[in-house]
Amino acid sequence: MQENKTPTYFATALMALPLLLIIIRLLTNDGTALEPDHRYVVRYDFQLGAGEQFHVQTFLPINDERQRIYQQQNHAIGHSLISIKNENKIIRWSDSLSGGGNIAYQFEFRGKPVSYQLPEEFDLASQNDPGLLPYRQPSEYIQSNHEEIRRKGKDLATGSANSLATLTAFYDFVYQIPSSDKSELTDALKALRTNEASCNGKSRLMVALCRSAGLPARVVGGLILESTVKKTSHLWAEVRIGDHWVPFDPLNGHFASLPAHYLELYRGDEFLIKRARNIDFDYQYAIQKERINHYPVFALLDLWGIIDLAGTSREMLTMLLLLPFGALIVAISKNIIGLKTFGVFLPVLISFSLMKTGFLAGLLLFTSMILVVACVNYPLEKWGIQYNSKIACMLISVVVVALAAIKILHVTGWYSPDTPLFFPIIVLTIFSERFARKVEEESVGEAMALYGTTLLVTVLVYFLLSSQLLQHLVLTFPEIILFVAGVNLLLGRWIGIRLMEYYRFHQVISKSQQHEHI
Amino acid sequence: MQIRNAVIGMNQRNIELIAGYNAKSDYKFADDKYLAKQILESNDVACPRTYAIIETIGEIDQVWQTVKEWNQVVVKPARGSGGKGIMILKRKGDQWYEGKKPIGEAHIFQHLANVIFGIYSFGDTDVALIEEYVRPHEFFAEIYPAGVPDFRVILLNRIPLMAMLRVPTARSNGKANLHQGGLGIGIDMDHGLLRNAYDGKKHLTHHPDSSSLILGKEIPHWDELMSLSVKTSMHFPLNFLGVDLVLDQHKGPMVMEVNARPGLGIQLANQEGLKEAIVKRAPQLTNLFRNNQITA
Repeated sequence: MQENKTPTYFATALMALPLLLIIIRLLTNDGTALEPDHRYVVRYDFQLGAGEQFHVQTFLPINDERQRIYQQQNHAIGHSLISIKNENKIIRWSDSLSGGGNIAYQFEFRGKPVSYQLPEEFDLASQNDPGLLPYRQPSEYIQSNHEEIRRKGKDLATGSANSLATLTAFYDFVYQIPSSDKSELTDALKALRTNEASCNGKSRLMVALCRSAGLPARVVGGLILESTVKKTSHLWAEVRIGDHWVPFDPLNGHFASLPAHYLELYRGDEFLIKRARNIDFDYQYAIQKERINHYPVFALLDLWGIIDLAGTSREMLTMLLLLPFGALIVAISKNIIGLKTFGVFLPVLISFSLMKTGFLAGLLLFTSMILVVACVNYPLEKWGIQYNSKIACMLISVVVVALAAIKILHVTGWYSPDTPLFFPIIVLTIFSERFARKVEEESVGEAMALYGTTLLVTVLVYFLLSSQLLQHLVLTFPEIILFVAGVNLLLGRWIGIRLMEYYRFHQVISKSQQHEHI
Repeated sequence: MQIRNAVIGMNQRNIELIAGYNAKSDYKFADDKYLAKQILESNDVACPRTYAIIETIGEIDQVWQTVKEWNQVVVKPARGSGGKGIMILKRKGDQWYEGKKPIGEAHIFQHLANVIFGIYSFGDTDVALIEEYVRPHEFFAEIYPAGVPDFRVILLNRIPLMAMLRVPTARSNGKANLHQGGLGIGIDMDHGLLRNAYDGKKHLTHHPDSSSLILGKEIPHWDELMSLSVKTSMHFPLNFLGVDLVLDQHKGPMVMEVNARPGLGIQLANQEGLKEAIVKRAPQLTNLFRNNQITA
């Protein structure tokens, strides 16, 4: 038999061409392929009227663990001077003679979300660091030693078992204060008294309460980034816990966490812009959100663009693209390892279900359904019930158990009511039919064994497909599924012995090897 | 001889032997036992007599009445595989037995209905074959007295490559298929002698239930069995196939069925790889191996 090489060439082309395209796209685009976050381009726009002398100063962002700043560009009239003061980076533009003009300062921001797991008791020793003294003392707008604030702090701390409970009580109290959309400066005391505050009043009150209880705290200022042009800046709080400044935003409900799109500009209770009073001045912040994993140049299909612009479900696109990857793992499990499964797509669909239900809850759900089918089989078999009626009875028992599970999960509150169970239940019914069929055609034992290997492969598929890295890779470079097709073509022509066959045939293989030595 | 891969695995069997030697459109001649039976009968290849064919659920009762006169029958799904759905029935007076256990007509009808409904046949509707029961040759009783043992011969381009005898055990409930708990006994094809038996885990020289010696036993009518398998392969367009034969006490060798996807367990029964067998018996075919791993 002359071997036909065409499929091999075809497979090689299928694998090589998408890789080539990906390399071209990597070279011609700028960005980070696998990073999930957005890039924002932020521009300060300051307009100055004519005057004899002017100066404007504001803060520039600093790189830290949470945020990275790139491509800073300064297009401005006058001279600019950058200095560092109290951990903040300050830029000051000034000139002595001027007919007015614009200052534009632009940079790119990339941020990561942070979230802290707090201990129940805080390490007080590190908080007594003398360097932290300013953050434990009252300041002009943070009247932490005012009696009303001290009393409120004590009231809130009463009954708290530990530091974390006290901090949570402070946060909850400030969070529930009705928000106001006034952007005027509100100090801590005013926020407490009027029981109404915007971000700056709430943050100052949060900081004041912490300081009154001896916890070092400070306000932090910056911008919440979104594609818009705006004037509003934002203020949030940071509390020193152990060796970390832990963020709290009591206006937007971020407890010990901060989303990725918060641009931090300065630390401490400062004014974002300071300027000479004697000239006309206007300002705005122009912010543009851009995908960094977009790679639009040479993209045959820009899925991120479709997600952003057309609002197509990202989950749906991800699932669609991951399906071939899941099927590849199933094929590898079968043809290379020797693990058989219920169908090719079923392990992949079960994996998607597990992503919806949660891993352990889903496994429990599937396994209990399978056991129900196995149990129901016994009486039905004994009574000699016809095949299709039997399958229907098994499916009814699955539905009954699913309903019971939903009721239990609802009562116990283990599930939020909006957990999408529709898809998992569809998959479950398909699966239980396959299982019931196997029970009917062979035996409960064989069906359970096949369920076992199916589960093994499913878990493998689940962990691979849950990978954010892979999900971003396929959305950014959807052409990679052609590569998967190429791998499948090669795999489909691979004639090697499966791993499990080495075990199955080990006696024959070792006997043959003995012959060889003779 | 480089022998590291003397064993043929599923991947190579599927790609190079089954798909490489057989046309997909010809599988049906083996997969459909009814069709296979027609080919065998029309070419005068000895095979068990067909008593009845039941094609629809509605005619079960009526056709069964014509079958009832026989003392022993075998019910088979025409498109079943791996021995699934085969029921061996014996009659004593008006009572039917499956093995030793009495079985009511209602239960038999239910089984026939299941067969026709296609649950042993990958979801398609099927036809139930009711056949003559083969009375095993006394040679088999010396090994194990129950059930119907059969021979499996694997042929490539009409050349027998390897053969085994499948014998039931206590745990296989009268069935001889390896994965239903039967024994696979390798065969020295040149001399018609039994080799060791393989029970799915280990090789035995004696039958585990009867303790009868297997190793070295001479198979009666071996030459006839071999020529019958070759004759069978002449009438099927399948170039790679397994022929299942039985040995009736009175009628001698008969072809039971033909298999387009013979299992690989035969290599375990013979403690020999199929590639080795091809090198030995059909050396002109070794160039089929893509990597030429077999070089004599």
